[in-house]
Amino acid sequence: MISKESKEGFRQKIAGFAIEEEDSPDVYREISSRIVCFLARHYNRDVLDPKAIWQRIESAIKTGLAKSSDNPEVFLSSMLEHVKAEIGRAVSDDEFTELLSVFSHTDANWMKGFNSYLMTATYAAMVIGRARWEEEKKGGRR
Amino acid sequence: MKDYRSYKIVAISKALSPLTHNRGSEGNETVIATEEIQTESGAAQVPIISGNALRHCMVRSPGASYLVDNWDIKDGLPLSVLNFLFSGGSLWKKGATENVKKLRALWDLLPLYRVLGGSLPDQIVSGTLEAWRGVLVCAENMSRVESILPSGWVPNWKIMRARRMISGYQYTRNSPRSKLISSESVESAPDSSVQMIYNGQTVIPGAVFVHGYCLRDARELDVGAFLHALDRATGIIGAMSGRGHGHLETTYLTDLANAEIAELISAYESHVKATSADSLEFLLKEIADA
Repeated sequence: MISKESKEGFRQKIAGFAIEEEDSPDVYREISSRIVCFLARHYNRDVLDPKAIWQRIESAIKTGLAKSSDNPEVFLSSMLEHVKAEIGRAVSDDEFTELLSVFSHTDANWMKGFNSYLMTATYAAMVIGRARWEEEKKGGRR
Repeated sequence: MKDYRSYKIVAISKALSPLTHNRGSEGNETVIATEEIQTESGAAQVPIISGNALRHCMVRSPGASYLVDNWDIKDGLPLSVLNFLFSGGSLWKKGATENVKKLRALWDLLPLYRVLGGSLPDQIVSGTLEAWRGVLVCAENMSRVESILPSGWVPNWKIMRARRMISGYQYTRNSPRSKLISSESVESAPDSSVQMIYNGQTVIPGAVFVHGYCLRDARELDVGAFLHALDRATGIIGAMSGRGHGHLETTYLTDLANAEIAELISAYESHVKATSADSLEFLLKEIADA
């Protein structure tokens, strides 16, 4: 039989989508560009083709999101593995710790928003991240 | 004199699995259907489910399946009849006319097609059903949702933006070439992987769409046919259903009491049984032999 909806039933259905804070696209943009720059820094140019760095980073992001969109540690680790990062260099990079710290202060809703941003604005995140990487290279950090 | 009434039914559909109601593809990536809407903070793109898709999956397809299941079909149905039943048919005969007698016969035998409309080979049959577009319950759409639902239903909460309800999928497809390699030739087969990756956007499970139907100048049999189809609908919509995408759980808001709905559906079922031979004969004569 056709099931009827009630006011309470409808509210229950949408309760999971209630949020306390507004979306934060500026923060998403900042964090995603830092991730792109971080991946560029740890891209293993000895093992992978240096010319394919940006294609590889894009697929690293896709792989990271596909493997774990709700666990930032798995997300970051799988991206590093994808660019064949050297474990010794990665663990001694303060940026890794800082990114983990940023994610540890977020909740599931924030992560959903961030993943959605990264998925729908991958190219923009990469352009901003690349510019960040170029600045970093000029500054001598490699 | 026959009693004609108009009915409005509001539907609330919750996605139980990722929803891939697509607009098209870009490269090997599919893109979901969205529309631009104007909000207080500017224009925004939000996912939608088209009224046509909802009408087909929730009304036409389950309604047509029921008819075919109940008819005594010995040698199968001609493609042209199936095309009319499941897709609305097509106008292909030269010198299209308006034959009221034929139209009345169709309406009396097959009330579902008075609701849905369609096209006989020589004339268009207008339908009485208006299917609304599926509106996603998200921050951008709240004023629209409020105007569809009864007063006081929409809570005073802040709801997520639409883009938070969009996710993605990634699958691999084996190249047919790899399947053609016989066991004897495996050693000579190229070593490289031939899996093709394809991906696309989805609306996440749990997302809620508000939509509805308006049935104009309907007879009781029309309403029965419509409700009967809604009741039988599997709720699968969009692409990738083979992988489990597109499963909707739908509930309804209607002024009709449960007993009244049961009565209307039962009357329609009796009508289908009583007219099955005549209905089949009509379709074979007017469509297959036209």
